[in-house]
Amino acid sequence: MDRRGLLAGAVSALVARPAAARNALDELLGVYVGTARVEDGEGRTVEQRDLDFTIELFRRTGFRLRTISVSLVGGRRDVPGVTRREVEVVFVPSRGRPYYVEFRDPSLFRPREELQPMAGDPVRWAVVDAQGLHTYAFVLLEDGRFELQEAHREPIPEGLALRFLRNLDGVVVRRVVGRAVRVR
Amino acid sequence: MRGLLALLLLLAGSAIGSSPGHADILAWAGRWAAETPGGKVDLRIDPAGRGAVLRLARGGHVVFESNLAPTDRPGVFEATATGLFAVLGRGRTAANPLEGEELVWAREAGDMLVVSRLAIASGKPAIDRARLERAGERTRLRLERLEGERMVVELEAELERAPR
Repeated sequence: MDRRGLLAGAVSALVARPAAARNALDELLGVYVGTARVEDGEGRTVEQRDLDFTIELFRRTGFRLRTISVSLVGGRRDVPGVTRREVEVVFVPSRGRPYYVEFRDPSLFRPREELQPMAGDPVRWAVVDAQGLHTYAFVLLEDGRFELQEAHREPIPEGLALRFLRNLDGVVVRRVVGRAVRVR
Repeated sequence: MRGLLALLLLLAGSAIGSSPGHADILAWAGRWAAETPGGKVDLRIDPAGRGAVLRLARGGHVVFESNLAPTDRPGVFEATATGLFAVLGRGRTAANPLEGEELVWAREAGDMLVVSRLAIASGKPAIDRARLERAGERTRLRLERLEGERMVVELEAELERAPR
């Protein structure tokens, strides 16, 4: 890890998590499995998914969100055409702001670079509050339109209600609705 | 002779590559205005380098004020710092919304110029934009803001050319 990486790590360890978020985040930590329905912009179901995700602490004040999503074929996951996608994002508290920002891990071989939204770098952040965990990703597309993705994980008695939106330049083109339970 | 040819090629290349969107954004160059129930709308676009300076005010309040420079994406412009920051060399540094800064950019789409802004407000995305569209001798303006899942229209007006 280079000097900037060490400094960033030290700062993120020293910075307290947003106070209101501390308990809320602790209550969300865990491993979950669930299912979701994918709809197009007109509300037509286009796909069913199995979900498996983990919310775990990262360096005491941040958290790691790892999601495995399996797109089913005809409601089954044991037939050809099934796809599996794994995504992992790490968030750390933003200094002086009530949200978390994506942790861009520097290394000896890949020094940390400045975020360049105009070059298409995704701008990712997260909010943890009494309503749950909310993650956002903004991307400026090649032609200057934007894409905004929102994912909301909200506690319900059985686990978490899941809500995901993909907004293309002001129009919702994908909506995912589901639920998940905590597993051991 | 070969030197002259190389010079001509160099000049032609610099002319072609000078800026993908320069001519189009400058179609709006000048001052535009309209009276609306919410107050006077005033738009001013002036050439600046390979881009333009855009200032849009509504009822005396500045809605957008940006120095728009072309990017390497055709028809896409980024807001660069002006004033002291530009003098200090920060002119090409794009804003980082994660650090509380507003990201402003513009894009050309046919007869339209869309100037947009992203900020993070209390953890939520705040996106607003001004769509400018040529309507004969006038410019049609639409101000929109992301509210929940969709962009809502805050203002629509037809601007006329105004004296500088």
